[in-house]
Amino acid sequence: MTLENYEEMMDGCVRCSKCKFLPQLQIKSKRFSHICPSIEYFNFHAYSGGGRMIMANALQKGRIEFTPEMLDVLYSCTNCGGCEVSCKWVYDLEPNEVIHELRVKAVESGAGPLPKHKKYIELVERYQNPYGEPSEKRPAWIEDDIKLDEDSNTIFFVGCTAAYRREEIALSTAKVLNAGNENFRILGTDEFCCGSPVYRVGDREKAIEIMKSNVELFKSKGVERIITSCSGCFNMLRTEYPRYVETSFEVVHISQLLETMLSDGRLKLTNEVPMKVTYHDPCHLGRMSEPYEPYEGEKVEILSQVYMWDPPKPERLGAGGIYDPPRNVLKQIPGIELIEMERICEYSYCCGAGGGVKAGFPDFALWTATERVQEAEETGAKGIVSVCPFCSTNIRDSLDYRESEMEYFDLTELVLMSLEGGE
Amino acid sequence: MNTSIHNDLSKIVGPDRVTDKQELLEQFSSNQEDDRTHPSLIVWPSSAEDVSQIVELANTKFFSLIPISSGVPRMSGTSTPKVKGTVILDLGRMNRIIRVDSKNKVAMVEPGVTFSQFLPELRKAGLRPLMPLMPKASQSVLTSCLDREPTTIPRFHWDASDPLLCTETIFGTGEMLRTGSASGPGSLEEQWASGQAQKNPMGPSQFDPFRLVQGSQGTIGIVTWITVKCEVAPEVHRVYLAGSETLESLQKFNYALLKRRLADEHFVLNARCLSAMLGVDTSDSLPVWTLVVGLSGHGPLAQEEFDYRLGDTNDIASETGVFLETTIGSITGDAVHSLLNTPSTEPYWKLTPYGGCREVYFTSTLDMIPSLYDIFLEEAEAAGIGRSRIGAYVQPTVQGVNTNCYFDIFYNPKVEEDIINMEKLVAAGTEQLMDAGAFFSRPPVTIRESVYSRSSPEVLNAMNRVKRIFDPNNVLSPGNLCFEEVFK
Amino acid sequence: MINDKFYSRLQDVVGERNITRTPAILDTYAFQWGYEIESAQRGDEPSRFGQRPDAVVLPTTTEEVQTIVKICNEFKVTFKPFSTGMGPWAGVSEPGAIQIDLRRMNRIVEVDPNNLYVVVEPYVTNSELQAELFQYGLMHHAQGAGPQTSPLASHTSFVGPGFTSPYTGFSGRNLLGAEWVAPNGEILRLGSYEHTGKWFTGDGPGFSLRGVIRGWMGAYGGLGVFTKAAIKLYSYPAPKDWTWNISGTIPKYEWEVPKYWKLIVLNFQEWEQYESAFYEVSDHDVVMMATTSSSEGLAALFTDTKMEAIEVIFGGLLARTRRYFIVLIAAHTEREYNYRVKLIRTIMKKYEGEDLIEEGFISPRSAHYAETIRNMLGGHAFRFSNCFQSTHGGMDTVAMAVKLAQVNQPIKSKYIEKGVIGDDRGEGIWTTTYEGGHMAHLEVPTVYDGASKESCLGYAEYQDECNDVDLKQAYGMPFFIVGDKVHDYYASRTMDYPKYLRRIKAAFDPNGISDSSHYVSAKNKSNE
Ligand SMILES: Cc1cc2nc3c(=O)[nH]c(=O)nc-3n(C[C@H](O)[C@H](O)[C@@H](O)COP(=O)(O)OP(=O)(O)OC[C@H]3O[C@@H](n4cnc5c(N)ncnc54)[C@H](O)[C@@H]3O)c2cc1C
Ligand code: SF4
Ligand code: SF4
Repeated sequence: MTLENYEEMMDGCVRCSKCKFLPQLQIKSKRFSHICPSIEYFNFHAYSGGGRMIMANALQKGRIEFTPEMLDVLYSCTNCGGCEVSCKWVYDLEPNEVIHELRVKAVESGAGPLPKHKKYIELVERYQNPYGEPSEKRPAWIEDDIKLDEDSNTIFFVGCTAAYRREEIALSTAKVLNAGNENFRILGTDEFCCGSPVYRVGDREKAIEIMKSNVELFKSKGVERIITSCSGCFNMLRTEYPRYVETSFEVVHISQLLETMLSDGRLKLTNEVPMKVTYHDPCHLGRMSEPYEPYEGEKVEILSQVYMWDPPKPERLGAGGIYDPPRNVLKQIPGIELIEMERICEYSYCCGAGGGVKAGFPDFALWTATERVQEAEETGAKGIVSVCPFCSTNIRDSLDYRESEMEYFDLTELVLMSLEGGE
Repeated sequence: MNTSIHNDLSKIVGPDRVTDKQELLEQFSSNQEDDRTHPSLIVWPSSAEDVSQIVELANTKFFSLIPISSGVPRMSGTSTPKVKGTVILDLGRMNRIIRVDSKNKVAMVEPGVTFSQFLPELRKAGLRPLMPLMPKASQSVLTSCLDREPTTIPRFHWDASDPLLCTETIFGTGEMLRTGSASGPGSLEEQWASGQAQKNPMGPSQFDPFRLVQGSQGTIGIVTWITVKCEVAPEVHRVYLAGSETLESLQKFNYALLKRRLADEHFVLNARCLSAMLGVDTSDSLPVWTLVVGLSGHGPLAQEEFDYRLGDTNDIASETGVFLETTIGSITGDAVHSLLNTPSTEPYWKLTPYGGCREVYFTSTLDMIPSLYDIFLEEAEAAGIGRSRIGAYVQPTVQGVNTNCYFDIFYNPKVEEDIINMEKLVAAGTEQLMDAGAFFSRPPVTIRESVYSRSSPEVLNAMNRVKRIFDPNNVLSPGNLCFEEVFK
Repeated sequence: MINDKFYSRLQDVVGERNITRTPAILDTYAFQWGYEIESAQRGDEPSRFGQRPDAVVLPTTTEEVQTIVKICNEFKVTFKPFSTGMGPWAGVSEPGAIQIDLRRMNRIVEVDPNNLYVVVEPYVTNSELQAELFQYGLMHHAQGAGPQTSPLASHTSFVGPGFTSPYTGFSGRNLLGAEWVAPNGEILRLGSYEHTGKWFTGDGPGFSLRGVIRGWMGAYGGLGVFTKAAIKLYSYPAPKDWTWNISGTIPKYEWEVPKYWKLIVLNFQEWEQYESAFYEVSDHDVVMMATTSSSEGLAALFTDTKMEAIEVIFGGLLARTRRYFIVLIAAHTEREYNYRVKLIRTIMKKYEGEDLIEEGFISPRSAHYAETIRNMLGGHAFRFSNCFQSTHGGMDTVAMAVKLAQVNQPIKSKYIEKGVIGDDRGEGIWTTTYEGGHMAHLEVPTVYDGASKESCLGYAEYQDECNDVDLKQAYGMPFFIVGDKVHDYYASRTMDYPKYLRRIKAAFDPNGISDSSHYVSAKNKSNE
């Protein structure tokens, strides 16, 4: 796709502002009625999904050009996809897709991404990870008692953030896999960034290169199945890769696998973990992970001035994300009481880290996480649980900043606590 | 000059429709010594065209006009001249009921139509009025609407402006505008042909001139007809009563009932007021407060409607500790019923106990009334008027959003001291009430200064700008509201 | 163009973060649904891009708004405020103007649950307010534009029909009081507030300044800025322990319908029966909603996707639908419910009608009940097209609405035949009653193709013809009779009302800087 392909769609925006809010039936309070962190923080219409779409349209029509100020607007979006869920419920529009396409155009035209993004893209190219850490340190989180099966065609794709920053998640994931007798290996120093940070800021060309080389790598290593505990990696591998490269592997998120292992009886949760918790849906595991169904068709006029796609176009409304597995796992941990926040599942609120925002606009990222933490606090829960190292980092930053009494847990950590003989 | 104006007016309306007879003029004058309050002439126009010409004349010959529509007694002082040479524009002879439309539940009336004339016509059309509690028989339906007088059935009172709908107004400039949907497009006849009935009071377009004329006490325009909203007459209609020692103990019930739009008539009277209304001197044996609740049913399931309303109302009553009865002591709901939706007999019921009555009325909310009442009673005592001479009528309006309250001071106009005390009470009581949160939304002339002293300069300025638009020479009722007592 | 000095003065008021003149941001304020028609009429390709403001400011207090307005007066810069800013009337109309975006003023200032009013700022949305009011067992009147739009905008400034109008009335009549920054920068607080600190009435002392600020249509942002509105509230008919409970996943949400609620679609063979039944239902104040659309409209209301709607239309609804209106019975108690249902059925029978729901031609799900009360049904129109507008709009009686529907049908059909507007056989209308049936209006939602010049111009021509019919045959004043040109076109048949409007404009906006494009200018521009 190019921006031009979206022009007709962009022309159809009615500037209704629905993309600033939850799908309207889901609004239960004024305090938590919003879905777009960006418009909440910056306030000008341009900072909403629809606003950015107008901006893209204006660029497409030659009314504006890329300027530093314009790029700031473009990149102060977490690419969380919330706008799109709210819009699509009513209209045939895809604001988040357009935002991404505009970023691609920004990069292609040499204007984007932001300097900070460029820097970490360079790091990815040089070090295989955006943190600029040496490859040798990638498997440093491994402890001696972790059992790896070098013959397995299943890998645990650790991901850069868990490997270098949230080692505890990598470790607890490996441990629960071991506990459930799930054979796997890791790619160790060979593991390469999934490409998410490069892709999300619009460097599609480089991202596709990474995808290709990763797919080659998986092939060469005989990988048939990939387990990941990172929602960002999951999203790339399961949802984005197939759009650009041919893939022949299965992708499983740890929460899905845990659910299976529990129902198989491979895992037994016996230890009480007496705690009220609430669950944060990572955007990339939730609405954003809904697969794109390949589609070819055309618009036909079915009634005068009323058009439909022929054949009917699959609607990617957000229902196809991974919502139940992590919840089903939580509910099976003895002692855990799950209390939901107001904004969940396909209308969940973003943690604030994604889309290059954590690097580009740290204050905004922290503000967004704090909004989310406040919502979590209002449930009365003690623990906020999620399944994404990147969300984890940002939410923890906010918990520290707020000196909140809440504690962050990765789902795998809670499972581990509840395992017989677990920690 | 008087003669020349007299002649000019005669030319417009005909010689028998202008007078300078002293005995007629005197009834408008409040103070025989103050010649400013003596009108110079009375003129009876018979059409909007007459009115328009008279207003234009007033603008060229520099005299002020006070429009009146109702007969005596005049209670508010609004129609007392404040400027020398005032001409009374008596619209009482424009008294046609132009149209009663039962399908659309609306009637069109001229200024001189009184309640006693209006009600039988409505009844014939199967309609009932939205009207004040026992108005004077000579009360003009039109001025009652223009004064935003509270009506007794809050559930039909959607906006403070109800039941006033459209108007035909001659502004102080002499220009005529029909307000609301009556403005057009098209003549009234064309509108009727297209199925309209002048039901939409708003507009035309982007302003609401009817809201500027209503409540203006004759300072903005002269209204030559209005449409007034009516309701279908019920087939079943009963009145229930509840007695109470305090207003507070009725509060929960009142609020709950108002929210539900279950009841028709819904108001509270103190014993003084109720006994005056019933024309009985039994105020001692009456409860301090009596709640009046009318319930009705109409249409194909009239009885069932009534039953459901009664059932739900009784449920609310028992949840809120109120007992609705058909009789309290010697007072029956039926007796009260017979006084509703009908004008007062002569003499006017407020004048029967002592011969005189001064109303102090304001807008507030139900929860505020008990403390305002206490304040007023204390002031009454301090002013030398006994507490027992204070009537109170608490009328929820705008479907319960606010409440119009009348504190009636019953006095003997033949006793000098009584008058002095009454006036003392009006002055002091009004201030006290205002301090405590009463809003005098329809300020009578006697208290206008103190009311408007609480308005901001910005609001006064805005009102004056409106005045200048519609009555630039201040020919209409100068000295009412916040406007100057001179014409420009 | 605005100058730097002006800009920096504004910046001092709101702070750097809350003002912009970045073209890319400004352009997002230049884009509005509906502009495509104006651009087609100018001879350009249809485009939703219109006039770009020179700057956008985001004030957060009334005092900030006041200062901004005063600075605009000082520099003679035109301003246009908006709340959520949806529609061609929300944007600026001329070069060199600024937009006042009120989204940072989003507080619910006060709820008085006993005295049934709430005070809100501009950027509280209908759904937010509704969500907060449920806890008191209350609801407000929300305009049909949608749950994400502003109740303050509607109550103070813009028309105001909604889906619950039979029960909650019309925005303009529900306004109790307002805080108003007049075009000259003065702050006015209407009604009781100044005298009592409470907002229970907006009228008096004396006449009501509500008469100046909005009228039937509202001033569309042409007469200053409203910063607070006191709005009348209504009882929400649900048991005390009921909560807003919504489950399921998009798009198939399920909602816990309050116990005594029921949708009925009364279908009659002829207009005559329809009209009599509509009147009789209206006489009883028994419904939360009473509205008519076309059979396509009916299908769109109670389905979840375009595909579903089309299946329903051709699955028998089109053939069966004659003259119908939908009612929602929403009762507080079983007694109330039983009486109301029986009454509606009795009236239906009397005029030989049928219930299209009971007959199985359309099946509202629980979520559609929720969408009804949340005022989302209007949005369903966008399932068919991103372009629709309404013609007519006259508001008076049911009888006029019925006549107008019939008069409109052949006119609309003409344009359908030309292929420039959506084909609903000329039957597509929207009508609702108000205030227990005391008034009704009829508008004609019309689908067009915003990308096609021919269609945009065709729609515009259709609208002009409708306006002309309304004018000549006295079918009330249509919704969009705003702006100098159109006002003047209507003046001669409507007692020359624009002259008063102009005087108001002159008196309250001496510098003429409150954008008059959708209001009126003090001088008769269209005659110049
Ligand atoms: C699909 C659709 C359906 C619609 N249906 C209806 C309907 O059923 N009923 C109805 O009434 N309207 C309807 N409309 C029109 C809609 O109500 C208006 O566009 C508007 O009220 C929407 O609210 P808003 O919050 O976006 O107002 P805005 O767009 O913010 O404002 C509307 C107008 O009021 C002015 N304004 C807003 N806030 C202020 C303020 N604080 N001070 C001064 N001026 C202000 C603006 O300048 C603008 O002219 C519909 C529109 C659409 C798109
Ligand atoms: S993707 Fe998220 S942050 Fe970006 S515009 Fe949409 S809702 Fe806002
Ligand atoms: S993107 Fe969608 S939801 Fe947002 S303003 Fe445009 S049409 Fe409305």
